[in-house]
Amino acid sequence: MPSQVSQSADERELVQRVRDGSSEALATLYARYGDRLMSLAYRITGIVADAEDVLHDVFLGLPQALTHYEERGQLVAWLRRLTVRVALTRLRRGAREREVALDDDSAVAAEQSIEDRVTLETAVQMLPDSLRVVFVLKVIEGHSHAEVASMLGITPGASEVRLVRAIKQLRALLGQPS
Amino acid sequence: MNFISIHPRSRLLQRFVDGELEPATRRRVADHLARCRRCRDTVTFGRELSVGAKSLPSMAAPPRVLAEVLADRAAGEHVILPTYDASAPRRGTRALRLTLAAAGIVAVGVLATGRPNARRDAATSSPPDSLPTLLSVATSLGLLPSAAYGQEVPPNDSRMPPITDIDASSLGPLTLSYEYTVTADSEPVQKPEHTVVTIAKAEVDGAPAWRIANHSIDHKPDPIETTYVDRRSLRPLSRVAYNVGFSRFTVAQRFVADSLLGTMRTTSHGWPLARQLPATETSGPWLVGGGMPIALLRSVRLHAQWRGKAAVVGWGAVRSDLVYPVTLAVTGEERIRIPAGTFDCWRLTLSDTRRGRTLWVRKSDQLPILLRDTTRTPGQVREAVLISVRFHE
Repeated sequence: MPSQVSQSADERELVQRVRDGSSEALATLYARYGDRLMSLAYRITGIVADAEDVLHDVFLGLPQALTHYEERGQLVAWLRRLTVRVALTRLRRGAREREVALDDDSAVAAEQSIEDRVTLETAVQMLPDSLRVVFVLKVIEGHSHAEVASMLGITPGASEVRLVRAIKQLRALLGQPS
Repeated sequence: MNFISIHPRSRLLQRFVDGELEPATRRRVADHLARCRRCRDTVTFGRELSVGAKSLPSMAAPPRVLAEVLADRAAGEHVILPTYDASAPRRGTRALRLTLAAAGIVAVGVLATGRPNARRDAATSSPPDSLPTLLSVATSLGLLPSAAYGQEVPPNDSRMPPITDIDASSLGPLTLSYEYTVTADSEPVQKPEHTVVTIAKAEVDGAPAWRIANHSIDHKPDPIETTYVDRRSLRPLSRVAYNVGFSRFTVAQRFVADSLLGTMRTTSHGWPLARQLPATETSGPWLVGGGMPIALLRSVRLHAQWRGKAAVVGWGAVRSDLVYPVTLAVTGEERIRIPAGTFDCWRLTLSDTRRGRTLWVRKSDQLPILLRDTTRTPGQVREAVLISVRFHE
């Protein structure tokens, strides 16, 4: 597949230029992957400002971090894992400010009166942090429960339970009878 | 065959949605679904949700963020990112297996014992013996001492010179994040915990100072400790700690000449603090607060023969909780690999050498990057690792 080979070579060169400190190359990576990483960071943190901070930190640290990228897998997959880790760190720092409001089933129940205005996007963001993160990592990012558990410091069983709870709450938020 | 006369559990249905069931179980769930509309609706919703979630629209990465990144890079700011896979086995030059990235310079408020006698008069009483000591409320992980410091001081400590070569004027503001784990046979035995240490410029009574804050973020409410020290000498000026121990004490200390003054309070009671501290010329510098050893280590010139003693200052509410002598000594040079990278380090031994407490300090900037300790449970190892650092220019 010539186009893939070409793209791969282009990406390798781009990575090396970022490692070497090229701002232009960093901007190219940002243009290429920034939207996807921003979306991922937002879905984990649930706050646009936090997602922007995550994106900022990822790209600020990228030149050094790329020295650990071994180019065996897809760059975008590596970037997504890196973004998940940074976002989770951010989420832990901010958790204490949001958990009272959101880490509680009653908070979700209170929102059910506006269920007809809730889209999937907003419903996901209305989940408590602990459930939303599992949902994002498992359903959207496609990680296994074992991987999710490892990232969050919980057991795979707990990851499964949280996913089921997340889906149950999403179903209620989206106005689906269960 | 009537495998499921009752509805399958939600987890089983979700595994069906995710395609994670063994073929035989999958067939039996499918049989149930053929007869049960309710479970069928659940599975249908799960599938539609999965498809919908995967196709949620992207958000635009603001150009402003890139501009900030480039400006911050041009200003010399950088950050170390967690590039490791926590689930993957790691190779280390010293075969230090960091099963989960780990740290926590000090976690105040975990093991507090005792509750003050509620009938005592805050204004007039002496503190009861049951008030927490620094050691009773700190996990023994961290740069501050465990009980071993107070009880097992090596016999030659008194001959070690005080640490004197401190110059913190070029310390620089920064934020560090540490994670720590406890492992047994390289397997984690508890969830990782996290501490953030921030060093920032400040002023105290018009004089330049450093504000050193350490914040253990995995305990609710968060134990937070803030210390102000002289900008150049690191001599402590004050410390405030919130949510100390089980009773959530607040401790406020001031350091005036050779004295520790202040209060220890709960929501309803308080005890005055007034203690004389040992002269730093003999005890070494006073270490006040979990983040202060980081500042100290960045403010001395480490070399192969560097060593010295210092005095960790306790809460001071009870006489026995005033000063704990500690010694630090460079005992080697090693290249250490942690998730953030591979670094040439000074290896330092802390004064509880019998428990194998070892600290690795990055040579390039004298940041503590890894701490290794043991717990009282045989076979358990505590490891703390720096996971991110941000230098604020």
